[in-house]
Amino acid sequence: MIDNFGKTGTLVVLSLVGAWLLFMVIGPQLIAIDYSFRPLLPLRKIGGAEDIYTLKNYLTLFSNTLHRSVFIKTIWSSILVTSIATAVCYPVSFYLARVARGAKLSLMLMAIVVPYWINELLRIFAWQLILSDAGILNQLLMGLSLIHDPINFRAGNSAVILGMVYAYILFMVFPLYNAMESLDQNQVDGARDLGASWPTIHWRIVIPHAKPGIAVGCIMTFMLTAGSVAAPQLLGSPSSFWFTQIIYTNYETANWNLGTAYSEVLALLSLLFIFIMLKLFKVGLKDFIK
Amino acid sequence: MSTSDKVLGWITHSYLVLFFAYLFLPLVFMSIVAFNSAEIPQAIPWQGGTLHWFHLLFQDEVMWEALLNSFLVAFAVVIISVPTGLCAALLLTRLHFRAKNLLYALMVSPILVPGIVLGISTFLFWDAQMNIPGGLWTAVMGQSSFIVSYCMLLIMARAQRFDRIQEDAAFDLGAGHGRVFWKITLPFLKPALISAAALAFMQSFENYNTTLFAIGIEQTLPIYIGTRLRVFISPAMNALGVVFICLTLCGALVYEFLRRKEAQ
Amino acid sequence: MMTTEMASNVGHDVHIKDVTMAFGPVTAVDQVNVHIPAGTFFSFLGPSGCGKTTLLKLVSGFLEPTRGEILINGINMKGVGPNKRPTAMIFQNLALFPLMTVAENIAFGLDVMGMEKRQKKSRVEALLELVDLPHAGNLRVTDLSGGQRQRVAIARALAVEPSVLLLDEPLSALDLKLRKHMRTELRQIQQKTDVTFIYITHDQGEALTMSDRVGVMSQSGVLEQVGTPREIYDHPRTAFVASFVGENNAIPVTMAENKREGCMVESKLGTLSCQNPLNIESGYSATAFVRPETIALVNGSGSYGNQLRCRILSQRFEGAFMTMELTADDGTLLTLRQSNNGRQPPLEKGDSAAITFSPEHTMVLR
Repeated sequence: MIDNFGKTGTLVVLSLVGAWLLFMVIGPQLIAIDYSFRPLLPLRKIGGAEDIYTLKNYLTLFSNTLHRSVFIKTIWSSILVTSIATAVCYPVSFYLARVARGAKLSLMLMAIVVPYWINELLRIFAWQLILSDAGILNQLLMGLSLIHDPINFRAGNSAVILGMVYAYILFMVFPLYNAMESLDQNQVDGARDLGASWPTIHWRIVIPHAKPGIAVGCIMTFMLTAGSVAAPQLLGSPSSFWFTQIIYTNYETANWNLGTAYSEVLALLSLLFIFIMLKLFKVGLKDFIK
Repeated sequence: MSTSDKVLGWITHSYLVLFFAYLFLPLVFMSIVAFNSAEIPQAIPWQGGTLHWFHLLFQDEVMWEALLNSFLVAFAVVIISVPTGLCAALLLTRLHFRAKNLLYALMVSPILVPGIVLGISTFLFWDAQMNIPGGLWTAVMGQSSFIVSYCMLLIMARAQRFDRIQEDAAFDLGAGHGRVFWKITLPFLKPALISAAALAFMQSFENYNTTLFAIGIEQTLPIYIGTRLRVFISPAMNALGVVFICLTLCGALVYEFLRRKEAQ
Repeated sequence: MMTTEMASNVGHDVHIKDVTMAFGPVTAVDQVNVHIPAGTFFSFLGPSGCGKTTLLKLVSGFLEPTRGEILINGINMKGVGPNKRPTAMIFQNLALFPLMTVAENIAFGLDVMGMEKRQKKSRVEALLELVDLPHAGNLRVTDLSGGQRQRVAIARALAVEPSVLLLDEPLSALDLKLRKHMRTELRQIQQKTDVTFIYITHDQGEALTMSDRVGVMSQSGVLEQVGTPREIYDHPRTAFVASFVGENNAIPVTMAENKREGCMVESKLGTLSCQNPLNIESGYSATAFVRPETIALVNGSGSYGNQLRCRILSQRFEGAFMTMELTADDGTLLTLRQSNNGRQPPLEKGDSAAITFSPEHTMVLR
């Protein structure tokens, strides 16, 4: 019996939670895992002799050079995006948490949050406007006679990375801000008083204190980036192919088996990154409050 | 103030200006393009202001249908996620057993994996196994899987601050379980429930990754936008962007106004 | 303002029959057996951790005893939940409902009973009068002071017309002056309403001044003695009660001669003549207790039976009393307290003095 709940209460609580876990969390995952271990077969052959459990789908990631290179590039790019986001947002978070006060603070916080109420796709699309051949940046550069032909900004990874950093700034700023806010100002003042330079103060006082925030921010950013579907679709070029796009292609061609296998790989990657981050920053799973 | 401090201050301010410019310029450009009467979306050259793209947008029936679907899905998600999140939060704060940490990890796991994973698995579960084809129902299922977790965390933060001795006092005065919950526990949790509902609604309305894979043929507004942007780029999408921006600014003003009023 | 409604609020008696409460290997309440008559004010007195709160939870229904029974008005309360028992509890931190007003708090129990609006309103007003908080109905509980909150808690509990009111150290969070005032108020309310009060505290001043009878509990959940305040003070039955209630000098002794009218014990201070209420056999070791106010300085008019030679360590002038710390030849510390009536010549620190105390006031206990 749950504390202070009667029989009906306990039943209701257990049913709702059970239904959610069973039908929305565990059930779908089990089905997906099942598909990922079965080979792609035409309809009439399903359930037949060839329908056996196999690692073939997962192995394709290693054997198919294109898939493999895309996977590795996705990981690498995601780490890059996370690092850039951390570097870009750290000063801002610090400023918000420790310097800005009162009306200025709430205004700046609002200024960061408000863009996020606008649909992610539209925001990324706005970058497409800026970076495309007929886009504003090219027109500006040509107008200033700095270049003659439009630069293809969208070639390679840069556009996607720029767009992703833009899209996920909120998820890095706020965890950092929350963590830094709780820092005792006396520690910083004391260090200044003892003659410490700003880089030292950050390295030895602020960063250690903000570790949970950094961990959460990196986790969120990495997860959103590695699993990002919209940004690569809108800003990408063939040479910046993203892992999620491979999954999407398989999904569209009804190759559930490969699609689920790759999405499970993505899930594992995400969990692995979280695990590494938690261990690196010595943070517990419980510190996950938004 | 020493010179180095002044320089530091100048650098800081420049950085912040650049940062916020980075955040807002794309939106500004998008707004300009929406009013430009050029055929191809561009800000320069300016070919005269027009509301043509807005008209085009409002005549788009597919867009309206997608918008309606977004609302339907969002309402369904809120109705499912808030009570379930509440139950999950109550379960975790009131039950004490050894496997509790494991259960907690399981309940938080939907947030820890990319949305695409949830989308695909939800679709396969309902479409392939339960014979319910991809559509609004599967979208609701896919979104709820992780939105329940968010609601749970939000409500748990408040539930942990609840002193359960009030419930004991109510029992002692003769109340039954139902009355204790409705009159004592729930009123305390109400602010968290409202925040959870708002969060659930916004997350559902905004969601793209999970919905894209779970929804099959149907469309919610983000799906519609995604489809359009990939196929044919029209300034009408910019018009939609401007609509979003205006609504957001109004929302922000309302929020600020309410906040100021409450602070008095 | 006493209404006939309140007069009909009859208290019930409570019989705690051989109740034991064990939490795994830990025994919180050990075979407690006591009968509390209806309409009386009963206190459980004991140090922290002696199980008194557990006992209260057992009576109110939040716990079921591992062994034994609890009967209220002769009815066995086994399996009866706290919302069904004729008890109401005042919790230590009061547990008022913070989101409700004072009136809503008090009316909560009445809402449960389904009382109609007009009757509910008049009852709430009557209760507010009883606890001396008229017109406080619309205030938020968060705006009240500690003493006021206390009274709201009492009114809320009395609203449901309980036969037994259980109070869990309700005055511990209040300052001294307020505590003394509330002691009288609580006693008055109990007498007015005739409800059985079961009160737990570690403060003996409270227990002794408010109660009809007191039950002293020791650390391991054992009920050491039950009696009127006078009885447990003048005639403690165990060494624990003697040392816990009031101040007492404790002298380790061995029983030498055990007679009907009195006994003789051997100690490092010599042979003493005492009372032996527990009938301890010769040869056994025990402790002799004598209260500071029963010790007198020998001033030539003869001794009271036991006499010792001591040296004065310190003197404290406390207005109406003079308290002296003395040390006997073997180093045993004794405290003496006498009223300051100017008769005795003041003694200096370091002086030696003879003290005397009578066998009637010396108890040998274990």
